[in-house]
Amino acid sequence: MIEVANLSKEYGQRRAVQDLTFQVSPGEVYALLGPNGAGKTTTLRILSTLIRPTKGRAKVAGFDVAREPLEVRRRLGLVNGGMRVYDRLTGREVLRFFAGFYGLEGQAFQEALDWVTGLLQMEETLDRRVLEMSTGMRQKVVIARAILHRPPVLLLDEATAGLDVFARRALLNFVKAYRQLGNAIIYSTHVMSEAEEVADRVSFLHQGRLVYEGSKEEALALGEGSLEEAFVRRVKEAA
Amino acid sequence: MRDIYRIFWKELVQVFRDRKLVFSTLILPVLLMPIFMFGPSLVLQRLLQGAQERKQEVAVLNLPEEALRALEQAGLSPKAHPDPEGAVREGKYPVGVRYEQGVYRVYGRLAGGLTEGQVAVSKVQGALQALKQGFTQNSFLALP
Repeated sequence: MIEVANLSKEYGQRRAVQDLTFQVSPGEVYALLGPNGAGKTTTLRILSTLIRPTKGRAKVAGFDVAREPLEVRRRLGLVNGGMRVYDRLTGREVLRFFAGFYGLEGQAFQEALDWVTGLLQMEETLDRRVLEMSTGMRQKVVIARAILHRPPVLLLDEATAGLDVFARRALLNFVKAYRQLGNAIIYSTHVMSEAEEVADRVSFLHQGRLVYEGSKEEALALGEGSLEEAFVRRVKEAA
Repeated sequence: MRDIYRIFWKELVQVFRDRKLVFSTLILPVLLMPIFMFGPSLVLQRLLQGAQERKQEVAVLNLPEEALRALEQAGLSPKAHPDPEGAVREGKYPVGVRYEQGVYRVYGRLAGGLTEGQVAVSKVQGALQALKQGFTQNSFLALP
């Protein structure tokens, strides 16, 4: 579903991502772990066609991110922690606005809305203005906006940033449910405990390089039951 | 085109639901426009009206009787002065008039925006103009 091969991104002399290679299969949550500045966001920005890679290639649902960006966008949902939606619209209006860009209107929109409302349990947000919503409710609207067109690939970049414990739990439950539907998910975070909960496979990114990739169980074994410990050991070895 | 309409609608809803924005972009200009349009002219009109109604003193030298009467009728108060020009320069009088060899010379302070002096000058000019017209008319009527 997602294929990344020898992907690099350079900003002048600075290498944000170096020679990254990994795959994500349908029905899999792939955790991209690393500290701030490791290259996680750059990788996701390349996959979501927001920036072009300097070297290497990446495919999403069989389409090249550099050559076929529109096809990629049709099959992709992107959520990040800092994402905002229009404050003075209601949840329903926000979703109708974005659905229109995917050609979801009339009955098609209503069906998509019913589906996403059920999946995220967000009935209460539909007729409330975003301005009046809690952070968790807003994040549900952001997620709903990202998956309204039922993309087979979902990218989550620090999606739990700023969420309280209940909202965070709801988001993690959603990730599990969305995986159950056979979708590929990349879950990027620096919070290792979240990856422990939802990931099938994990990768550690450090200074733009992939220093480890394996199943969650293997990673936990490496860190004697802790992903954080596994990450620290792997980074030290790589250094 | 539909996408443009969609964005337009979204922006419109966003704007009209922002009370502060609606007030500052729609209501406030409607309230301020008449103030800026008519306010200055109303203030000016009042100032002029006040100056017109007040009786200004005029330094005069050698003015004939009919000219003095004309000035008084125009709401001015003629005061004999040996040097009307000097009196105006020194700021003692807003306007001065000298009559010499059939010519009226009017002195006034015209610089510095709209002042009471300008109103007084225009009053003097108006009075003398009316006097001149009356004299010309009478001269024509007296012709055989």
